[in-house]
Amino acid sequence: MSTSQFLVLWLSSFAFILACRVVPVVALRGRPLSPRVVEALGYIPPAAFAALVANDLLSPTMFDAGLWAGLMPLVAAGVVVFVALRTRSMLWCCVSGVVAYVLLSLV
Amino acid sequence: MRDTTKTTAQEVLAAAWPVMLSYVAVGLPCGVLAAKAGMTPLMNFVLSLTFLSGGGQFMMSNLWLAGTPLLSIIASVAAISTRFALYSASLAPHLKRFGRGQSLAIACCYTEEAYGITLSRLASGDEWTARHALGLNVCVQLTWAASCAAGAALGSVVDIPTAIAGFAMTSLFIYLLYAQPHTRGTACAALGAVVTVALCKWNGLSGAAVPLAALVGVAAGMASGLLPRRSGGSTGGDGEKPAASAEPVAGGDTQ
Repeated sequence: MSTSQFLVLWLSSFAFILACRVVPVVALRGRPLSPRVVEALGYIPPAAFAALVANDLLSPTMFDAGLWAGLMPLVAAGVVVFVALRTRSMLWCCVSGVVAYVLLSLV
Repeated sequence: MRDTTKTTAQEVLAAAWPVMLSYVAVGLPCGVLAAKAGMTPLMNFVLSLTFLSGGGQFMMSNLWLAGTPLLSIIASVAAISTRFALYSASLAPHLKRFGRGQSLAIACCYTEEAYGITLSRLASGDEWTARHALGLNVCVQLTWAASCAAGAALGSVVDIPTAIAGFAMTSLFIYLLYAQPHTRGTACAALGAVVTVALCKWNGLSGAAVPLAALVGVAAGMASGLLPRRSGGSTGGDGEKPAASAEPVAGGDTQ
């Protein structure tokens, strides 16, 4: 990747993500929101985080290397959910997730 | 004044350090991958400090290494970055208590994890000021940028398997999902998003999967209000349980 290619990639991505971050804050600032809008905004975090988790775990090619290779990240995710239920700790969730992933990949 | 600043810094670091540790674990392989795509440590640092989307950075490197045209990379990264508009929209009502400049500064530099923590703190009415939010953003942002740059510098010397390190980020998102209110609406929103991601990815729309799924998830959550309510519920029949705090728990044990 040349410097000019990097600059095009960086500046275009930066401009787009900056607009995504700032425009809603400016547009919605000082405006009274209806209860339905507030309710809808409240559903954004769970929907977005579930989408990110699913995006990481699900893939059309996930079973190409075998059933276990496809299931293994899901089992590791199950371990993280269990740890979240038990500890409610972000750090332990990350540690247990990576450890479970490593151990299960050895199976 | 100095005591107040010290207390704020301590509170910020207490919330930030688990995220910072996770960012080191994920940022290093992200930097290694970017180095394979031809980015120098300086490029990595600048990109990480301003773009602030780990998923987007991983995607940039992967697509570049796969020989994808530059314009297609930009479009794909833009598609998955639209979720930040949704995050900012959900933050906006809570940022009204701060000045315009502070609100914009917070919106410009949050990461997904910092967003989760700040939103949780502001929504729960905790003593979480603009200084707290900005301090948290800066701490995790610098950690991410430094880790990515270090990963690029170490490059070929340290070969951390990307899949393993990337699962740290997946685990973070699982935790942040768990930390949401445990209501039927939340469950419907999450389920709608998961199904949409699967449908998108199995139909060749991977680039748009996350933002599209977030929108469908919100619609599913809203639609859940139309379902018949269970009788005997203590909170409007929604089966609502208190959410776990999105605040990282130092030491990991809240008991």
